[in-house]
Amino acid sequence: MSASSIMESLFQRSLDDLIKGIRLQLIGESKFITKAMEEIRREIKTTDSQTKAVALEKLTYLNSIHGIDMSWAAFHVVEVMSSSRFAHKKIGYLAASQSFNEGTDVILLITNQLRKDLTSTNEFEVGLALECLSVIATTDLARDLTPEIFTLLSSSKTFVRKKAVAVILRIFVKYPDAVKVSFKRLVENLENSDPHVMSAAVGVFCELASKDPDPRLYLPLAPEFYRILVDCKNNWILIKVLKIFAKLLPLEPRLAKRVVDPICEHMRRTGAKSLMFECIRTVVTTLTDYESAVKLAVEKIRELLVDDDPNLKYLGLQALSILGAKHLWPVLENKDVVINSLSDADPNIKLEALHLVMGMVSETNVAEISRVLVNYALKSEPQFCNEILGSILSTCGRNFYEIVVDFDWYVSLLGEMSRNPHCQKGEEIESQFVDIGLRVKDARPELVRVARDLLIDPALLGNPFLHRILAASAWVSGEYVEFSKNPFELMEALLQPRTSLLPPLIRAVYIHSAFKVLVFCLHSYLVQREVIHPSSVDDLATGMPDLGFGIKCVEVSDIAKCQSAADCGHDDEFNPRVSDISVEDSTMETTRDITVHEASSSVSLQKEPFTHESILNLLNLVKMALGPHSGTDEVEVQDRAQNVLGFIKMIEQELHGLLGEEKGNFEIGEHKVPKIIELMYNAFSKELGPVSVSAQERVPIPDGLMLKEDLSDLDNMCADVLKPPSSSFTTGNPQFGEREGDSFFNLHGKEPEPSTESTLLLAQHRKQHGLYYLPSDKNETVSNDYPPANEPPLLSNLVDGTQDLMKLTEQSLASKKKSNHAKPRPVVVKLDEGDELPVSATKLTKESKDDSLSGALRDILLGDKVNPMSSQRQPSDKSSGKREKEALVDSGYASRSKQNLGDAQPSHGSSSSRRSKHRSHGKEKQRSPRRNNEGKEDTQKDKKKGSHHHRRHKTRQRADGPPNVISQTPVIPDFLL
Amino acid sequence: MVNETHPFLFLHSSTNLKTTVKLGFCSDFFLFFIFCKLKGLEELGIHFVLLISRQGKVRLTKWYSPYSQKERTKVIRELSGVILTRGPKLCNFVEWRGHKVVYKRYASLYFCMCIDQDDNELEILEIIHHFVEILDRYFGSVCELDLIFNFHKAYYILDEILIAGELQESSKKTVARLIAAQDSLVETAKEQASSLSNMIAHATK
Repeated sequence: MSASSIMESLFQRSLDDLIKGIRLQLIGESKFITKAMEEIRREIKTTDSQTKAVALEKLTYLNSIHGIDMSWAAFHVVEVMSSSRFAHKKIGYLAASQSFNEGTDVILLITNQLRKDLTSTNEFEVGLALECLSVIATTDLARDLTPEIFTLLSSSKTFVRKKAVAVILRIFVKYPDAVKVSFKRLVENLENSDPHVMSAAVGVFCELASKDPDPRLYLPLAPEFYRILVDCKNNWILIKVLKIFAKLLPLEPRLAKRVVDPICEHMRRTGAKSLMFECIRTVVTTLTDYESAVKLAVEKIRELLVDDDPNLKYLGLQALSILGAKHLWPVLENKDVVINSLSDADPNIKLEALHLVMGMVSETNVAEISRVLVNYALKSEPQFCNEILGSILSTCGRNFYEIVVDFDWYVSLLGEMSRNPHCQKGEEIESQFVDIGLRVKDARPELVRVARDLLIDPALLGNPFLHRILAASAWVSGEYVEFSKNPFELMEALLQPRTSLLPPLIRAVYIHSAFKVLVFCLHSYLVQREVIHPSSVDDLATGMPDLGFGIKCVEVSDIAKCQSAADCGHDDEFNPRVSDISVEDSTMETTRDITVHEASSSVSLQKEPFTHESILNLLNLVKMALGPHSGTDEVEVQDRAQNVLGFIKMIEQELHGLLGEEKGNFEIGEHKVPKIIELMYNAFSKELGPVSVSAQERVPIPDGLMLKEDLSDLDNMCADVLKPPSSSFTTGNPQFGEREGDSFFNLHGKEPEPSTESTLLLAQHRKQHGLYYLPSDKNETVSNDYPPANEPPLLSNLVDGTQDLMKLTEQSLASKKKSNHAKPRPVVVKLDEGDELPVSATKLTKESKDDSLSGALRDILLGDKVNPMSSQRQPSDKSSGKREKEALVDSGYASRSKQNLGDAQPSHGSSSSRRSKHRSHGKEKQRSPRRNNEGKEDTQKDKKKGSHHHRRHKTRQRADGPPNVISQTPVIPDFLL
Repeated sequence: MVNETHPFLFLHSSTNLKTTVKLGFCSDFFLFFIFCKLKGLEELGIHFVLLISRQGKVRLTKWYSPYSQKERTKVIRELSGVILTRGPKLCNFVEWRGHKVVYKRYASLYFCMCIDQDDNELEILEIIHHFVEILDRYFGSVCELDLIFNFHKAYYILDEILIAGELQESSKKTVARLIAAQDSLVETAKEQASSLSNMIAHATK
């Protein structure tokens, strides 16, 4: 035994040997470590304390550097800790503080050892014990050793005392009762003449104040901290004291007044950047009401921003973004640096700058900023590119697109963003696409155009990140196909072979949209051939009133011009395929096809888009493209493909006969097909929109209607159907089910009569209770009253097709500068009032900042270097002009909708006028940010802080008062159905 | 091993911080009781200190907040991935899991410290520099190899600078004196232990 012990200690591998062995890597690191661990396991069990200590030292090394588990050796750690030799004790304590945790059971055994060492006469032994305790203290240890620590808090040795003060924090955390015993002594240490002890005490209070859920408890100590703040020259301590004040200042306003001067003094005087930055941070987080302090801080922030050191630049941007939440002018003053930082090499700095830039966005500059950023995103690396896109999407989509005025522009921006090769924001863009389609009626034409551009590009189908966007595009172009310039082209895009790359659910959306397009084309053709009379449809009142049709007809003839040329091109492509199929199908058809082809070629030369031939091609295209899908494994795809094919089968035969005959020779009722198509068309043209959660409740029950008697049974059945899902709006997808029901019903031809009956009933009901129906219909019936500027996209449809497209792009380009002023913001449908109030509040506060902002940003973005006053004023005048116009429109609008909605919302007229007043007031006030701030300062000098607060609160209330007129008046109250 | 022998510091640059202090106030303080709800607050001050070589080798780890062995390995892997890939002229702060990691490269070694969001990054940079200067004095133009072979000494020095995640000693001279004093204590003990006769006497007792 003893001999082996000698051998072991003589030939034991020392720590040096171990490290050298690992570095040599003769047999590989992991193998060597395994071998070394075997040795350690053997050596650590020895009775020789030296061998044991060296073994433990090696084990600690392997644990902390190579992550080898050493929890199994916990007992040996305790053995070495209790060695009488200082060298061994040190190794033991190091091992303990590295490896012990709450779950170590032998920790119960070391209480006495720690107590012994804490009371040792050797200050270094006490130090070891304190250091170890600061890491491994458990509740039991803290409770049992509190008396010893308490004694050490007033030790005469600085070395021990400062450590004891630091350890008391861990003791408090583990055993809060220790506070009662030792708090007074801790506070005494705060007044100690030794800077180390005081530093430790301040550090403890700093942690306590920042981690304690209720820092109010430390307010009585404020005088002590104040004295340290004023007298102390040690930067480490000052930083900690500033941190404490940052926690205390929000609790006690009087305190701020006292400390603001010393803090500014430190900020001015100090040469240490760390202290200066702490001063800045204290000011920007807690002293933002003190103008002079903020000004000084902004000056210092500027110093940081222009420094070459990226650390200081980053911190400067950070401070600026903290400040930006309260005051925007410092951000604007430093906008050049902020925007330059967007191209910094450091991703942290770029991100911070991006947040700041997005913070500056308002409705007047959103177009320019977004354009610059989207272009910049193209050039930046994928990750940052998506950061940019994400922040644009979230900023523009905030509060129902409150900052977006020109939706045509925004929609085309969405399209542009989707085409960014790094774009991974498919989900967000998808939801905004559908959402805008549902909410913003005026944006639909542009939306359809953008969707078409995306759909038609076969390259995009290969990018899985874009699939969601494509799904939304397909849905949009199917739902609003009446705005499409060329439905045939759309159909081709929807059925192109590369759609096989899409996941099945999205392919299903594609096919369903193709269905809608098909029905639209057939219907338009029949209307054109006067087989269906638009007027007769109107009687049915299925959501397509006069004007809607007027537009549609105009549109149709408009398309004709560009169509005839395009058609010929398409025909060449189609014909071979068509004949292939038709040969397979039936020879009868082919012959007829050819004859009709000849007959109708003359027709196509006239200005009619939907020629017999093109319709036939369309049908064939659909049949050919969807044929394979009818046998696919994907149920969704198969289902929808079958629907379409079944529909075609049903109408095909008769349609051919119908098409062969001359125009206008038919009377309704003679043929089934026109009726079916009409029904389908009506089913699809039903307006979809967001539905409020509380829509049903808001419909008052008419007199004499006994709902409960008749429908009490239904109530139970429909209980869960009537309650909308948790989200406040049903968008996009749920409608498919609804639709499907209709189409299914019609497809199988199970008495189409009831449905017409029901539509008739519906029409009657609508006449009686028109008030409770969606203004979507009403808007269209009365849309002559619309301010003309509100309908530019529709008007533009009158113009020739190609020119139209040109104009659209031009418009979307020009809109970045001008259209803002030319037309008011289109209606955005919002439903829940609960959502609206905060919206309007933020909107108004934002608007008040606008004038100064737009000018400043134009400076930086357009690179104008005119003198700041004039450049600020010009745009502000412009935008104010725009605003007056907008206000006028609003008030007119409000009164009109007041008529429409009856007494539902009585206060609009007055509120809108109040609003415009408020706005002009804001305009005057905000002409120059400087002056405004000076004014604020003045009021501050006059009044105490409390009253200042009060006044602010009042203005906030005023802003709340007039509810958002734009958003509220056109709100569609609800759906009845 | 590349650059392991390269000293961290070419110059003994002095930091901005001064430790002179004038104090002389004292006030009576009334005792009051604080009902702290501090239980469960484990993360105080600096959460951990890591020294990682440019090749991703760990040279020192010190954990002031509780991390299990598994978490420690994960943290080291994650952070070395983030920090070692950063270019030379970028800022020295990294956002990480809701915390901030302040790092600074000296020769071939990265010194990293993890702190809370509202802690002062520049202060931590100064602490790192302080640590490096003390190492430099102690080893005499310190290089990575010194830390590799004297890993426990690096720990002892760190323990004199930081306690419970807080700076405890801002004077380089004091730290040097304290370390020297403890070293001499250790050395005398070692000499006693390692003399052969002593060993034989101990074994044949």
